[in-house]
Amino acid sequence: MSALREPTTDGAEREGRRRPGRPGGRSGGGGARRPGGLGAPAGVLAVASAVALAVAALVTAHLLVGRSEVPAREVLRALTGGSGEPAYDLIVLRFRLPRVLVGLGAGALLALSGVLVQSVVRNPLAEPATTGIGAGAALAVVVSLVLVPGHGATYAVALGGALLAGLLLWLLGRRSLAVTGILLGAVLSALTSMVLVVDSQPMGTVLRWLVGSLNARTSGDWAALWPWLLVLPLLGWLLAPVMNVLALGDVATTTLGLRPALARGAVLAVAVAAAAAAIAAAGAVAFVGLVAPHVARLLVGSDHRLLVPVATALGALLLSTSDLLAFAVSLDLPLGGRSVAGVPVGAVTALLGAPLLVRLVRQERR
Amino acid sequence: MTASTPRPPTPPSAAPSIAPSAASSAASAVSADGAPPPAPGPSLEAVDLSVGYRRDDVLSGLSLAVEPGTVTALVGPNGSGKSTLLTTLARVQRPRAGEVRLRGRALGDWSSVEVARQLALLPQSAVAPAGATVRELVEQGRYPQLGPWAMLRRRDDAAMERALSLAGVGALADRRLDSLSGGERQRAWIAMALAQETDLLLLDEPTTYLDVRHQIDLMDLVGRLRDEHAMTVVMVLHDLNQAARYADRVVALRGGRIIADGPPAAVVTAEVLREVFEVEARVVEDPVTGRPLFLAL
Repeated sequence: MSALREPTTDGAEREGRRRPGRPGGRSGGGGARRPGGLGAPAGVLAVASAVALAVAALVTAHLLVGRSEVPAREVLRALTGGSGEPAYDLIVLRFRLPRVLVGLGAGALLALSGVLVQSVVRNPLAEPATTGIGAGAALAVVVSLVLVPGHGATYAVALGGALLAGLLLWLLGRRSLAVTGILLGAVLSALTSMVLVVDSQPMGTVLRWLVGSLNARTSGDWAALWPWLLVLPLLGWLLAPVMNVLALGDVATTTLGLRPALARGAVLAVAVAAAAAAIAAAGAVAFVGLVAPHVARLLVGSDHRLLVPVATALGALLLSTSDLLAFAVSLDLPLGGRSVAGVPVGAVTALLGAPLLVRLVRQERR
Repeated sequence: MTASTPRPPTPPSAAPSIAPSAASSAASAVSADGAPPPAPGPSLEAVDLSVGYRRDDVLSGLSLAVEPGTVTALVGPNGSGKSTLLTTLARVQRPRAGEVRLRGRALGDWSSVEVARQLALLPQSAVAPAGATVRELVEQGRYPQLGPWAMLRRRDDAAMERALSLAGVGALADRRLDSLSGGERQRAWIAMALAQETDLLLLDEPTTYLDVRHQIDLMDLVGRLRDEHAMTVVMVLHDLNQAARYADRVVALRGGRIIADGPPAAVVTAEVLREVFEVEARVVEDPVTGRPLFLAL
């Protein structure tokens, strides 16, 4: 713990000492980071190809790693339309491919939702998993499983619960969304716990939504997720100019001809939809919606026209990478081949995300 | 120097309700404002305006007509309602009674964007998004003219460049706002307001964070905007001498009412200073500008 803390504080101090010199510094270019730097088409192209490469690498890794050995040639054959071995087709197409796709998609939507929520709340530490939207999904699933044990429509129920919680958040939290979100999350989680105390049978299923997990995702999950991916990131990007204006505060927003409440409502609607779709698929995975936008801000600055796409891409990579880690760790657990559950990805993102976030926040502080 | 606290000018609807406290009146140089307005009519007009937070009225029954192509300074002690008046004129605050008219039409009859194309405000305390550059801030001023679709593309148009150079922040354009001094940041915000390309510019204590040099630069800029760009400026100023030196018209408020209104020579007087600011002062003629200059006793 102390070993971890030492260098971080040190780094923060160095940063603090360097700062004052900067404004007067050389070149007048505004220091090392130039947020506008990626505005050039070349920069955008570089980022886009880096993302594409990373996605390709991740998908490859996901398809090759698993409990049963599937040779690379067989993976390729399964992807390109069937092989002689039905078992390989099943493993690749029904289990591994949906898992990586859902991971990428849910990660993208969580990060997108994070950027939007942070813009509305005007607080970079807000994120979808802590706004009560995830808790709403979990509560809905628990209640539905108590009422109708073993039903198969958990995705739809989770989606409905998340959307309802988002609506509630908007209705209650006009003034202070950040606080309302935390309170709403606490109340909904408490209700979930109460239901589980009475009837613990849905516990296993609901854990997936509470912590967030990509274990045992199927092509059905992907089928429910991908339509959102076509619409929501585009909508989020189209709202970028509005978010850029909102970032200047309500007074400036008004004088620039936008109604703050209306603008926030539009952004929040997309944010809630994105969070609901992602959380219904992968559960309330913490920190992706926080870390991905944060890193994106360090890379491209606070202009939402760049921030939205970059954060979305980073979110996809972050969640899927964490899931690969979670899965790899699960394989090495001494549970043998008998455990299907495995380590939930939400545990990995929390373990990786928390220290990273602490570091980032300390660096940012002036 | 004639001692005068002229009654608030004209709009007939307002006259009865206003300021019995303006007792010591002997209207002198106000006629220019008081008389029938010139052909185009006022750019911006407050008509019988009452504005309040919770139960208390900050402004009560206030009327003020701003003529095009003039620089008006609102002065008054803390809590006099001058900033409230400015933000209500800018449509940031809604009046409890009365209305604000832009070019003769009630603000409510214009769409939000139409207002933003004609009227810009420099807010008193502006939040800057973390990590944004000056250019990114100023670019937002283009929003009302260009609309959300065009704003999806990163652009540096002529209006932006003009705004950056007018506000004197052209050299700082690519610097991050959080690396700037308070004064530089203030000028970046002024550049954003200028990028809106409006005829009307409202400034809420624009010189507060500026050093002397930049205060003078800004006030000269205000004069240039009026003379060369035919802009109408209304600004809240703390410094009465600054108001007297640079404004065509000084409006003194106290307790949500206009106590004195007119050219600097008519408003910056020992009587008004005593009544509005509770300051005993002598007013002399500024040897440089010929405007009134007050010295506290």
